[in-house]
Amino acid sequence: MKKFFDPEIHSPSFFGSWLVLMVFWILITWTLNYQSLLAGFIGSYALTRFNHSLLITPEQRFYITRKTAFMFLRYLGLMLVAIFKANIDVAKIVLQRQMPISPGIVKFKSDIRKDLDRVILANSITLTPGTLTIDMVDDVYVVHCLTRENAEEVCSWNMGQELLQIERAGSETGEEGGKGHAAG
Amino acid sequence: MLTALIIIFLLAGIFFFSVGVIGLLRLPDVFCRMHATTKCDTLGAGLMLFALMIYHGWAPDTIKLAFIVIFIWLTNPTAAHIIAKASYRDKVEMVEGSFDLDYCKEESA
Repeated sequence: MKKFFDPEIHSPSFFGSWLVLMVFWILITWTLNYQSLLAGFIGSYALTRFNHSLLITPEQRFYITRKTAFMFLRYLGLMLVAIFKANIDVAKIVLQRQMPISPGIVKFKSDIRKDLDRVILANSITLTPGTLTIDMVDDVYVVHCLTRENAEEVCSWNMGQELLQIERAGSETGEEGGKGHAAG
Repeated sequence: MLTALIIIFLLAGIFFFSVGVIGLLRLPDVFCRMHATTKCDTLGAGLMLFALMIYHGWAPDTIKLAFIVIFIWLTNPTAAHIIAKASYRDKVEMVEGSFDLDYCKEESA
């Protein structure tokens, strides 16, 4: 039987994610009634405790300095524009009478090292219509594309470059740098 | 004025959803269909929820709706990835004439 207060489990990121869940609970319930607060307190503790093996350790974190936060916001904005543009492209393809598709699979490598950044890139690729991440093994992405142009585009995609820049900026300034995400 | 904006966003959302359905019916194989359904859902649902956010104005409901949008955009690619990976592993047949580019080999050679 493990000790209830195991210091390995109760790391700083544990308390961080507990706090984040608690804030989230308050936002969702939108009351400051002591009963609902107590329920949220216990509930978010239990949730963090049972899932503590999934928590992101400080080494895996995305370093947030003022510079990287700004770049990340820029990334989100560019992402939104890319989603809009590509959605309209896919709509055009689907609505044409002779669908001009040339589907296929493309494999390519990326220089991004951190797991979290890789996942962000994979999710961005999937979110942008016309491309769909099938698999990701280490640094090799397997992507399904709707047209051949998409395939050639995605390998040297500007969002990937942006993310790489963010990562570089983060690792320059950030080895002990600012506060990261509290939790995944 | 605000109502007009809400109607425009709702109609745009409906448009992207219907594109998704048409794509699901027209496109030839599993992977292509994944494109149509998952992608148009992101923008369709996003625009519709955004219309609801405008409708509610600055209320607690708006925050909840924003969280719904964020979580849809986070989970949708993950679900799509799992379905695609499963069918890739099972070697589901692709439509004829699909290409297969491999840029890793060129780089390492």
